[in-house]
Amino acid sequence: MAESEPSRRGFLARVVIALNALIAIIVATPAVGYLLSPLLRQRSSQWVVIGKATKFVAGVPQRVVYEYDDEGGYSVERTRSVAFVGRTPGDLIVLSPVCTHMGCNVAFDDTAGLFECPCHGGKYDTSGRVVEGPPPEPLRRFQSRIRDGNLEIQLT
Amino acid sequence: MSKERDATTNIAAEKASIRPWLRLPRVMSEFFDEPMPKGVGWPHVFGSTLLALIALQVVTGVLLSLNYSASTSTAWESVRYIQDRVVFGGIVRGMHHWAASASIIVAALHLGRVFLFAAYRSPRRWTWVVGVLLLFVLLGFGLTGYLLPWDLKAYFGTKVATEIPGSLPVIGPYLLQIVRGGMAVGPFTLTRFYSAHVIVLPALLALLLIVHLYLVRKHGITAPWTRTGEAGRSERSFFPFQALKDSVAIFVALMVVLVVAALIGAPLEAKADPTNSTYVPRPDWYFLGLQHLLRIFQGKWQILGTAFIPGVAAVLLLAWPWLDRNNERRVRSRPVALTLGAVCAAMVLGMTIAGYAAVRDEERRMADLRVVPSSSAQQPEESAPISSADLVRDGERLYVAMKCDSCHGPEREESLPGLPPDLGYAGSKLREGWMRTYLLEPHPIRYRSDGVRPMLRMPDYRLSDVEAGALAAFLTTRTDVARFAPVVAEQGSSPDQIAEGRRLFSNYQCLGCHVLESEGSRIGPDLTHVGARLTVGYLDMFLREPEAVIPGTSMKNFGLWEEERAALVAFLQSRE
Ligand code: FES
Repeated sequence: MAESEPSRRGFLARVVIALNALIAIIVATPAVGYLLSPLLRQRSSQWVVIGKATKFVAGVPQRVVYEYDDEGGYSVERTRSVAFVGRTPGDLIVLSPVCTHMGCNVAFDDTAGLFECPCHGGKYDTSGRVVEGPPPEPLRRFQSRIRDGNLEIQLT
Repeated sequence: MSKERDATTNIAAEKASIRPWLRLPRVMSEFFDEPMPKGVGWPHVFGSTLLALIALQVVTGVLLSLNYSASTSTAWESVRYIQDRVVFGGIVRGMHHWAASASIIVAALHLGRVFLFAAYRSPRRWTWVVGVLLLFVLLGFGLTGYLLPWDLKAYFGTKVATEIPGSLPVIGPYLLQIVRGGMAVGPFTLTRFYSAHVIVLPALLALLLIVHLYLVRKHGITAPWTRTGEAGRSERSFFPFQALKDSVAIFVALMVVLVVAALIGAPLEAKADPTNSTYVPRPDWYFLGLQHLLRIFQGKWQILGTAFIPGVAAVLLLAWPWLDRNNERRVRSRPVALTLGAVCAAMVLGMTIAGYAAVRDEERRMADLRVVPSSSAQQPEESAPISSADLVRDGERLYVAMKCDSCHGPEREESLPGLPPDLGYAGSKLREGWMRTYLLEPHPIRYRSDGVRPMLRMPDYRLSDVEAGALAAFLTTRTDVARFAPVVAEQGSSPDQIAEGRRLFSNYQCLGCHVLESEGSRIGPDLTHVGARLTVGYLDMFLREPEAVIPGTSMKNFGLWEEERAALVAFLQSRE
């Protein structure tokens, strides 16, 4: 009996570890699924009216404040946001004001004719291309369309 | 014995020499090598099991808090969201709910075991005191967590529970306001309870738990059936012998919680509604006994039930190690203590059962006054007389009690896309059968159609078949005969007429805006099952003058002839 004790002990130790591992897995499975839930949520997109199309004339990019419904699972919140509308011959481009470097909001500098980021001096031209500073990418361009005379952008 | 200890040390030393990087496991193994006195076994698993359940509550609680929103306008919605939309949300919430009950049961068993083994005597008196305080903290978790879903049961349960401190003489009214954060149970009560549930109580729990475990470890396990002060013979080490029993108990507890969570889940009633006058307040089961005390002692005796008896019981429980002066631990030598313990346990159990019976009674009495007799909820709906006067009256009462008018009443404007429809003429518009099915499982009708997004969604009130039938029957009686032709018994339409309607449907390019059998575009509503939903009168009127029915609709007035309308309506009616 005494001789077999260590091996019995070793066996039981393994059983205890296995059982506790099983317990951990049983708890972890729903927990991980729950945590990953945002990844599995369907991304929705919506078209949002940002203004009458005729309002936007050629020249410097215009800053527009628009409203949209921000749906957060169980609540829908009317939210305000900003975009820049630039008009080139034959085309309307709508740019996001979010700097691609660290996400500050850019402003348009009339005298320089450039978008300037207040944070680390990033600069973009009127079509959103980077001309100076740390931003790695041009400003994001919204998908846009004209419906019933309104300029709409797609939010995703 | 000593051989075994040697073996243990040898194994540990061996392990350490083979794998010197496994320092932590060695420290752990020393911790786990606590010697267990002879006689320790299955009765000693409850402490570990309770610890594991508390750990489970921490995990599931943190997960729930990731999505929960403690405000009266979003708490219920966010819980519902967790329940219905989050992956494993229902399971996680179910586990949190049921593990709370399981913790109370296991804590009671643990307390009972310690009492039976007289393991609370010096030097373990303070271990007992801290343990009892831990039990109070657990009850505090139950009390505060109960409010958080902000459903009817949460609201009324808390309303009654907070009346208890409010009934105390002199300080009562002030205490009530402090606990509630105002005169009534409301937004401040919710944030207070939330704060207590996720900050104050967890901190207290952690502190007490550390002290409790430290004391347990410091004084070791009481050797069963010895005299006080007499050292028991140490036998095997905790790991793996007792650890295995503990692990098995934890596994069983976890499986029970998991299975109940999966099969029953955590209840979520309709959102809290302070105007509801038929709801019977019911605390969680472990407070039923306390609540019953309030029923027994009323009027000038009330303070006995609210403060005196619970207070004395708490003090006696805390002071018990000093009251029991017996030195013997053997069962036969402690007749007085054990009889006293058994009587107390029986009293708590009896009060709980009596409290449960009383709540059931009240609920039954209320059910007679309620809009829909709950006894009939069990009957299949076929046996319920559809549209009988009774059913309509029940439906109307339900409609008022559930405040359907706040979204569907005449005050709202249908011209705004995404707002709920006016149900003032529901009977002229919607078919009874469709309403009943829809009420049982509301789904977004124009959800995510292009550009038009519902600003509010119809909540699922989890109605019973009979309740949904009653509501549908009532709504069917609300007609607007001035605008819509009354619904006559189904006049069958000829196949020719339907064929003609189908031709017109494609001629007028209805699919440009509507969907039929997954063809077409989602600008207007999907017409695949329109025949099951809308009445002939409504369709006819809508085709004749869309603007008059829904101001601001994008539906064009095609200037149809009467025969064309009839054919189109016949065709649409055939789409069930
Ligand atoms: S965030 Fe705009 S430059 Fe750094």
